[in-house]
Amino acid sequence: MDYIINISKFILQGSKITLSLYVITMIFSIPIGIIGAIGKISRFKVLRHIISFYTWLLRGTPLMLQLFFVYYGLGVWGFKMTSFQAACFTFVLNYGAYFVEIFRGGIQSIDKGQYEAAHCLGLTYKQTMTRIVIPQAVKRVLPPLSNEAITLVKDTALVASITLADVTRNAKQVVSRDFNTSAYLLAAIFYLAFTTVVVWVFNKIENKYGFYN
Amino acid sequence: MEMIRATNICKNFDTLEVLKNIDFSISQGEVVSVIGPSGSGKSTLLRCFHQLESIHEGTIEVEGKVIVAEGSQKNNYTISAEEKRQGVLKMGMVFQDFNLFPHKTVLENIIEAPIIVLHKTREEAVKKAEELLDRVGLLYKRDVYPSQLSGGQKQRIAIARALALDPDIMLFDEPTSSLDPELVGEVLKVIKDLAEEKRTMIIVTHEMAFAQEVSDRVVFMDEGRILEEGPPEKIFKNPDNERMQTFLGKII
Ligand SMILES: Nc1ncnc2c1ncn2[C@@H]1O[C@H](COP(=O)(O)OP(=O)(O)OP(=O)(O)O)[C@@H](O)[C@H]1O
Ligand SMILES: [Mg+2]
Repeated sequence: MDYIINISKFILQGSKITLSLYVITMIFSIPIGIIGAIGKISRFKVLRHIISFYTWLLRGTPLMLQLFFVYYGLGVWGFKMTSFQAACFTFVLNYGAYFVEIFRGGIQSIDKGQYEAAHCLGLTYKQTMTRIVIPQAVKRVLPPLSNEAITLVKDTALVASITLADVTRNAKQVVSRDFNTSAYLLAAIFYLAFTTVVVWVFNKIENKYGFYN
Repeated sequence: MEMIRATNICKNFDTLEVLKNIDFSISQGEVVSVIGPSGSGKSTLLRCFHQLESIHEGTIEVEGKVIVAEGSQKNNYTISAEEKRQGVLKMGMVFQDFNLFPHKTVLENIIEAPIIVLHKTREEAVKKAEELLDRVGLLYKRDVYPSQLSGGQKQRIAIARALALDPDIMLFDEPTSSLDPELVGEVLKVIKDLAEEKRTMIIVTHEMAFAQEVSDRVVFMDEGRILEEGPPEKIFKNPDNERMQTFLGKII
């Protein structure tokens, strides 16, 4: 039992990295998603192409490869970052790309009649987007958004590959040191608890938006 | 005074000519019904007034101010975006499928534009909204969401929402076409009420009896042209145009 408590402490130390990476990624990638989506449906062709290139690139290559590239590759070119900075940078860009497409889908699913009604009431494009379209789009994208939020919990484990001492890496260390796999079990429990909280939060938000159909 | 004047307007969707050299005007206090077969361009005409569609040729004036000038007229006018918007604000629009904002309550739907477009205070906007709700008989629905309303109620709210901006002209595009037959009456009653106030209105409708009852003038459109117009007695009882005769024959 003492053994379990001891290694739990060690593994949970890694949760600092896991949790802060998670929070930073969510906080920055969602606005990127919304702004990128608006850009992607704007009338500025160059902007649309740039954003399409961005989502194509980031969604079309493995996240792990992107991590390696940012951490080791950019370092060679003089962009030195700590491994945690590199992880945050990569995760924000990667998840931002997914969120761009999710929000674009959500915004485009809003009926043309909503824009027309807003126009006839004298609302500007910006007012139409911020007050009419995006609030409705948010409700529609909650299910795919919560999927991504759950995937992100597990994706954070990838940072173990660039030497960050997160939950997964700490668990692995314990296992190689003690030849005892209970550390993996503890890590699994941590991730399960984490995703359970994420699911719970999204259910709360969905309920909050359930006030209209 | 002339509230809207459209001069020689043409509109194509790609190769399809939807409006062909239309001249149209409506004076203050006049109620005009636009009738005609499906696809004749009635909705498109209204949508051009509101700049929901662009035209290829012609001018559109609202209360004497040119707000759209295209084709051969384009270089004769410079019209700022603000002038266009002011023109739009003079006209209230009611759509066939209501287009209420589903994430806002009935009251919020109505006060949205007065507050953020006209910069009224919330109290003023709410007061006016409640008067309008009372007028369309739906004050008791003030705080519900549109999904909890029947089609007829939605359309009455949509009318109240348009009226909240105090438009000088009301445009209706088949306001009862997506309603169950038993709900048509309550909406027509509201529109009739407005007509009796001598509000300037253009009503695109398939309700011939209603058009005959409320209009000062009926306009018959077919294949992108206005083929006949005149007082309802003349148009419905004794139309000159052959196509108009067949059209009425089919409906009545
Ligand atoms: N966005 C569009 N793109 C292409 N064609 C269009 C578009 N909108 C309308 N049309 C075409 O323009 C023509 C006129 O359409 P419009 O909606 O103005 O007719 P309408 O008289 O209102 O008919 P209805 O009584 O069925 O509402 C139709 O042939 C229609 O198919
Ligand atoms: Mg129509």
